Amino acid sequence: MAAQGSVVQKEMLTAGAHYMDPPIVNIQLAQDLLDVCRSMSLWPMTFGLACCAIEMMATGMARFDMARFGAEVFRPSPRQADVMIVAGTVTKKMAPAVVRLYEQMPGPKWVISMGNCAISGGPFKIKDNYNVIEGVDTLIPVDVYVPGCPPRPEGLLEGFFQLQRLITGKRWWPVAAEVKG
Amino acid sequence: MSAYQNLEQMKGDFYTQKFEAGKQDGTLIINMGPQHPSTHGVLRIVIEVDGEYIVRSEPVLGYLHRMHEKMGETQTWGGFIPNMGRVDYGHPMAWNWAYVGAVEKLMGIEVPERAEYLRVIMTELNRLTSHLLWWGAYILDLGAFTPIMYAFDDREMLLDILQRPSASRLTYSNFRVGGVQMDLDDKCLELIRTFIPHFRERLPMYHDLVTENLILRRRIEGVGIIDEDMCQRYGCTGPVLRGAGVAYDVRKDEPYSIYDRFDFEIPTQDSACSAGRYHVRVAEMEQSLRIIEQALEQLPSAEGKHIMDKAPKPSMKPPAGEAYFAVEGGRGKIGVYVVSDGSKVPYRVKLRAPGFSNMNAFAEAAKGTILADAVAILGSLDLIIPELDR
Amino acid sequence: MLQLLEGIPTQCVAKQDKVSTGRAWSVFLAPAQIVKTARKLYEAEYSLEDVFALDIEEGFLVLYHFNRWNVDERVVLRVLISKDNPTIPSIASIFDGAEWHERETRDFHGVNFEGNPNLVPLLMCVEDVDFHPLLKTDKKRKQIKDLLNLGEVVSCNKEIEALFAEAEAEVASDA
Ligand code: SF4
Repeated sequence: MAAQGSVVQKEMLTAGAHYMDPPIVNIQLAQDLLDVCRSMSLWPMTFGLACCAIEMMATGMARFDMARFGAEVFRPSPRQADVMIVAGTVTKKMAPAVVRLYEQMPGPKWVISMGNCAISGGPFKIKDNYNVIEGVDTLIPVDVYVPGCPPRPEGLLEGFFQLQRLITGKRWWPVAAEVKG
Repeated sequence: MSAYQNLEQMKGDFYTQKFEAGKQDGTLIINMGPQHPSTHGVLRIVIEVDGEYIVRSEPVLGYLHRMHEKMGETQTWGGFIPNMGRVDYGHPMAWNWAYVGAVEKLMGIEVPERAEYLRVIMTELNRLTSHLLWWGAYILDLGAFTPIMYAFDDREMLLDILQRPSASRLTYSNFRVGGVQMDLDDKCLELIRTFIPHFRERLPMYHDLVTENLILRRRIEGVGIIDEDMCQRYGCTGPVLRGAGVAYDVRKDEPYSIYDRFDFEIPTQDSACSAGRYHVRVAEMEQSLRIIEQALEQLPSAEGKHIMDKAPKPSMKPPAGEAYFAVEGGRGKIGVYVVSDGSKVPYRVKLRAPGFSNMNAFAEAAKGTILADAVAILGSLDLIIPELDR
Repeated sequence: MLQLLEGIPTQCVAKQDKVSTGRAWSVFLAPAQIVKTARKLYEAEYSLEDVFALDIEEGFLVLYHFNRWNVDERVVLRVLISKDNPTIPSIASIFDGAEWHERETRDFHGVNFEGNPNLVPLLMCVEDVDFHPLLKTDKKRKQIKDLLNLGEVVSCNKEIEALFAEAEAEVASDA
């Protein structure tokens, strides 16, 4: 039995996994307003896969304190979350579960692919790869990529800012000054 | 070919179906994981419950199998070290050491004295971060949110120290065959010296906050018995074994490197329950501080090259043969076994993960307890899933 | 150790150099003897460290590491089994921890452990039940004598000696 090559296809997503009913009141201004509200209270899902998950935890804890940017409510259930941070290596055995979790999230929903593993297989993208999915974007649509192995918490925060920009079309926070030395 | 290509096959699940075969009447089979906050990653446990009581359980592993042993056979000897930083992100220094130590044995390389001290200091600092992470996450699992904030506060300070010589916050891979990659600079030593008294002050606060808390005690005392005989049968080591009253620590019983030069104790507890394991780990933090203090005092002053004198090139070719090296990690005995055929690539690398054996005892320990206790037991084993699945 | 092994027909017992290999004893056994030996080790308070296999030209070499808590005397049991019928009795009835180690070995190398209560894939996917990632290609596979040293032999039968014979002759000629 061959196990090489990309093992999981996009068809894993069931029909309607992206589908959202059109809003009842569809006025641009109202939508814009809602988008700002959404982007300022993103609820990520507690979904740690590997090493990167620890940095994700660190981002939410003391010092980095993601709560400052409105995203501290980590929910254990996908049904209460609207951002999925794929933090770590997705393996062949885990792939169906990742897809199922994504499908269980109510829309509108976003995905942050955190770490090299989730982006491309990272350090595990080797010739004889038989178990690691090379990029979570082969399974589910990804909105923001945060590279690093693991990305520093600052990196993840920057990823969140990017996501907020994606939702509202505007960056809300000042750009960090460059540190010398 | 791939079974995921049609959705038909996703409907059933092999492990649940197999487990269901032995089901009793009136019981319920539930599935914990692979995405469950208290499993600290992607562990999955299929549990049969009778009301609230666990009748049977079976952990399902492999959701994070990252082919480390396969990579060992395709990467060069030096190129495998980064993998060691990723096997167990709780205590990567110990894994670094286990692998590097095995290769050094094989090649008969002696490590410069200063490098030995640096290894001890960094490994013990890393043990503190590992225990702090466990401590915060364990209490979080049991329902208290605040302690993890304090734990991470101190942990961040340690990471600040450790990232100076290793250039990494989490996945350290700065050990080299024959030494360490970078020296600890003066700033770093100063930071460590200020950290020790600071942490000594914090430890009593941790106890006041958490250890004596009645709710915590009721939840962990007497729960999840793993006694000496079970440890022997399952091969449990580390705090699990010491929590069962056996004073076994690789640092003392199979002394490697320079650990015989330090004066430290092995904390043990006789209760063999989750509370025992909790107390052992908390007491170990104090012992690590003691080791670091002594190592700093004895640290031979030397600069530059003394940290990797005889280090071979990354493309080294160890002579044919085999070697086994064991070190004490945050979770127990880490063993690395390497076989060389005299080429640039290892013939076989076998990683013995302590968490693997500790987790193995879960099914027996959880039998007859209530479902909420399963979380208390899992947490007390201090699981790091990539280490289980490798 | 020698006392412990009394009454068990071993194939080869050898002392090993602790400094360079990290082990005290190495014992070659026939597959039929492994359960009996494991029981003796259990009674002598040894605990299991790991079980795994090596893919070599002569077949699969299954290795068991044992150590004691109070005394550091690591023992490695080695069982050579053929590729045609890679089957070996399971020791899971004595050391419960062996169950997972054996399942892992089956995943990686396809060695069957007879009597293991639950021999289904542990780390690999169920679909990959017949795929064993750590099998070597023919080109990379080596003979046992190119990989391991016998150590200081205490007793040894002809078969095992023959496996290592050439290597020793080479060493002799070098010297
Ligand atoms: S990207 Fe690096 S740190 Fe993150 S999960 Fe992968 S190996 Fe671990």
